[in-house]
Amino acid sequence: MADDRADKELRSADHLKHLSAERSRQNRIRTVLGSGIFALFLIFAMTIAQQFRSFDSARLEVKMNARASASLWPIVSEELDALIPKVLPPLDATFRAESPRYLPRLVQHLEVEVERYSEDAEEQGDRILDAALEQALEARSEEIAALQGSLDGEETRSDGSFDAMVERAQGWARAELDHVFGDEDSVLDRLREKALQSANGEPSAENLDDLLMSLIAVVNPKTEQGG
Amino acid sequence: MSEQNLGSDVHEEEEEAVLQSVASENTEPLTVPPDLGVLDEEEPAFVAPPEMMEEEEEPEEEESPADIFTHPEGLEEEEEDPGPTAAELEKELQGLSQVLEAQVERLRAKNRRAILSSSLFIILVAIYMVWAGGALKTAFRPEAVADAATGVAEKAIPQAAESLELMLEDGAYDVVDRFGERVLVTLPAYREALVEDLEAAKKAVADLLAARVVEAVLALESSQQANGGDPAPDRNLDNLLLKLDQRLAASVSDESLMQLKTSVGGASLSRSALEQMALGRQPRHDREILLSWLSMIAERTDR
Repeated sequence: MADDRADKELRSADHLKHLSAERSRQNRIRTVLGSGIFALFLIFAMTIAQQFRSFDSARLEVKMNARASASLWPIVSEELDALIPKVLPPLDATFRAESPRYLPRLVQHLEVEVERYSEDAEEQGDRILDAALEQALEARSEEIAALQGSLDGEETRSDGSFDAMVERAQGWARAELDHVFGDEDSVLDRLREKALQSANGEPSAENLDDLLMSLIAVVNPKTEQGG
Repeated sequence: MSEQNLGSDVHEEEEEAVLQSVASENTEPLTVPPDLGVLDEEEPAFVAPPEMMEEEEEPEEEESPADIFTHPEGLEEEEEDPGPTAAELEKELQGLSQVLEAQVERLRAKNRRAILSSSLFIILVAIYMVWAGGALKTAFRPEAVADAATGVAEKAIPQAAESLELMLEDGAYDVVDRFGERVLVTLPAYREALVEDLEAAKKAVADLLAARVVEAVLALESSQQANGGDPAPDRNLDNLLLKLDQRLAASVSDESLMQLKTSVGGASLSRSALEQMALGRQPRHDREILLSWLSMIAERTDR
């Protein structure tokens, strides 16, 4: 009887141990599940972050340009063409209406800029030509020294003769430089003339339209390459 | 009645014997495992029979299931009180054992289910994340982003055109006024750009001119040497300068200088402006004019 009871007690104790072990197992399962899901999310987040970091933006730019040229630009072009007849006439009319008030100010500004351009171009020509002459003389310095020696002891003082020759030649070169770039140097002056013509008296619509195009070239400078 | 008393006496004897054996035997005391305390409230590890519940109601006698086997006080109390008999205790013990066994089995089954469901859940989450990662990788491809952006822009352009039309029509005065101010503000920068634009071309032409100057000056020496022992006519400075002028004039033609200017590639801004002035406004310029007006709107929006 006592053995039976002791056996039962032992069995109960055994059950309790198993119960405890199962409880521990249950806790382990919960921990492993939580850790597993956390690890998965961590890996996922790292993968996404890596994708962001390794994003090829240069390629995106190329692709965007290609898509824009292929599909966007035709739409934009179409829309712009549709806008032109609707919005340009009122804008042109407004520009013409505003020109009597605006053009005198423009002429005033252009006169200042023409003067400054003239000074800048003068300084630029002198600087560039002086540097070029110095370089050319330096390159043939031995021949130049021989020339100075041959002039030595003559009726004229060699230094004075040589300097006079160089000065004369420099003047010629400077005149040539100004002549060659005469048109280019006159851009602002011509613009001023155009503005002055339109500002004086009753400007024609055609003149104002031409002036508008020249002013657009000022605001959005273009090169011959289309820049 | 006497039989009942006799029977109870027998039971008492048996009970005493059992209690003594429990007290005296060196059986391993049943201790409560430490983690038994973390049992779920919803699902207790063991369900005490009603008799034990009555005992547990008294706070002083609150015991864990294992205490039943280890606390000698309980035995002493039992000795004092008539209490349950050995058979009842046996029965209770058996019941407890069965309850514990059932609880263990139930928990074991539950853990098995938990392992299976957890594994399945983790696998499903992993599959979903792999799928989502793949989808995101595809979506993050430059081609896909470009396609998406282009698609959005395609839809937005017509709406934007309508808005621009309204802005240009209603704000014509504003746009023209802003354009005029912009021209005045831009003029100094334009002047500087013109000067800079000519720098390279002027340098190329100046280099050529300087070379010709040096050649012309040196050519004077040659002519002096050619005159031999009578260099007197050339020694006059005026004659020298006159000869220099002639040589310089013959040294280079305007055409070659113009060609050089063009070939250098500079002066393109100036030439473009001159061409524009000569050409005036043409119908093909309408789009350019429209874009200029639109840039004024963009400038206003930026501010």
